[in-house]
Amino acid sequence: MKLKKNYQDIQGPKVSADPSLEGNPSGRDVKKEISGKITSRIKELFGGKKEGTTAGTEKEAEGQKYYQGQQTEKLFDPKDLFTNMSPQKAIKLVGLAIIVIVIVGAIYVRFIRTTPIRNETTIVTPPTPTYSPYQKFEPSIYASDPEFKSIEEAMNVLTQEATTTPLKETTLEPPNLDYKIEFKGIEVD
Amino acid sequence: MASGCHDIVILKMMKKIFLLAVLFFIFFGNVAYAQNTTRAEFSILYNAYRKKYDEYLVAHDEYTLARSQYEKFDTLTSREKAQVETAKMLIKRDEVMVLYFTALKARLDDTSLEMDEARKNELKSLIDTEIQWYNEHKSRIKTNQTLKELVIISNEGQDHYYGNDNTIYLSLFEISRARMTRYDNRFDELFLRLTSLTETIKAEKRDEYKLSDSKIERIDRWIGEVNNKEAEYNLTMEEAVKLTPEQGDRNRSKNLYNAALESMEEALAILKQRISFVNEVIREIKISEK
Repeated sequence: MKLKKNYQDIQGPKVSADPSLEGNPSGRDVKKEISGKITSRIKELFGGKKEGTTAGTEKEAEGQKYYQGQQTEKLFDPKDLFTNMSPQKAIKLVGLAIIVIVIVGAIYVRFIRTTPIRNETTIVTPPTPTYSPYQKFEPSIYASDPEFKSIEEAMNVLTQEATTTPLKETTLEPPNLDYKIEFKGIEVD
Repeated sequence: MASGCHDIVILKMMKKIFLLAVLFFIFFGNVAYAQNTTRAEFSILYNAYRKKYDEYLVAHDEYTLARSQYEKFDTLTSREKAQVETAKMLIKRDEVMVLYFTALKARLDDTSLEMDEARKNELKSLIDTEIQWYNEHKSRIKTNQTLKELVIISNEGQDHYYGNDNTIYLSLFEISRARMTRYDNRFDELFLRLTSLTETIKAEKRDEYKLSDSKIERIDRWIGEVNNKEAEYNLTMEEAVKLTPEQGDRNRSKNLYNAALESMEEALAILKQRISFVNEVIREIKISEK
């Protein structure tokens, strides 16, 4: 936690923001100065030197531009959650996360998502007719007999006619005509 | 000399071919015409009837409008208009009936029906009487008649229609009956041929033509089933005939016709079952025992 420092804090003061550097014709000196400051700061950090939570003391001394009392340390970093976590605890946490995702997904599918989202056009294919399997049989000697064939054929025609032709002569039902002709005020005996 | 003989032979041959062609067209041309004449004639007459019915509907709409205007305004103009439109509508109404009966008469001649000639002539005579009545009735309708006179003439038409609708329902009944008779006769003829064939098969002595006893016994049993259904069929048809439309109170003829058709439908269902049984017998004979 202590190692966590503001990036800006590590990098040192902003070059462009320093009005003293403006107008310096030598860009090389500025770079050297910055790198020197960074190096010394890193040494300071890794050398166990105490650091402040607010800008003001050393920073000011080094000529950094911070406001008085500005927060320079991150208050929360998600990485902190996993820093001192044991592997068992991490596995448990991952397992819990998976269970939560599965439950949320199931709730979504069951209650929220009603129809599948399809971008492509749906092609409705007609149902394929199922044919009854052709029963193979060996024809008898009479199957090719002309008289027998003639009877079979005539019977098929009769079956077709009797099935399809309506018995009732619907086209010749009597026409629907108006026979009730009357006028208000005209009475006929 | 030789070429002259050759020309004569060719001329004689051409003469024969021409005569044969003429005979061919005379004979077969007439047959083809005879086969289609009833249906074609009926189709023309039926279309004429439907067209007239459409005209009647238009005339009826005009009459309805004129009547409502007359009843609303009661002016001389609206009355005159009502008289004219009523007369026109009544004339169309009679014309529809004339063409309807003409189409009905043509239907009786359909070759797919087997109707007794005497019965057919009787029906045609009844239809002719109706046509004559409607033509005569139509001739009495004039556009200058008063509304009261037109109402009286219309009522005559109404009374005549409901007093003689038996001709219509009797004709329709006979057409359906004739269709059933044709189915039944065709079935009987085919069934007779099949039973005769099965008798020949049963009497067969040659090994390759012989059927096993069990198969013959099965075919006999199935043919017996077809025969058993005949009595049931005849009984149902007799019931239908008992309901032959006759004149009576209003709608009696129509009700009898509907009841008779129901019985006939039942008879047709029995006939269809007999046909399917025969088809099964045919299939049984068709399949080899090997």
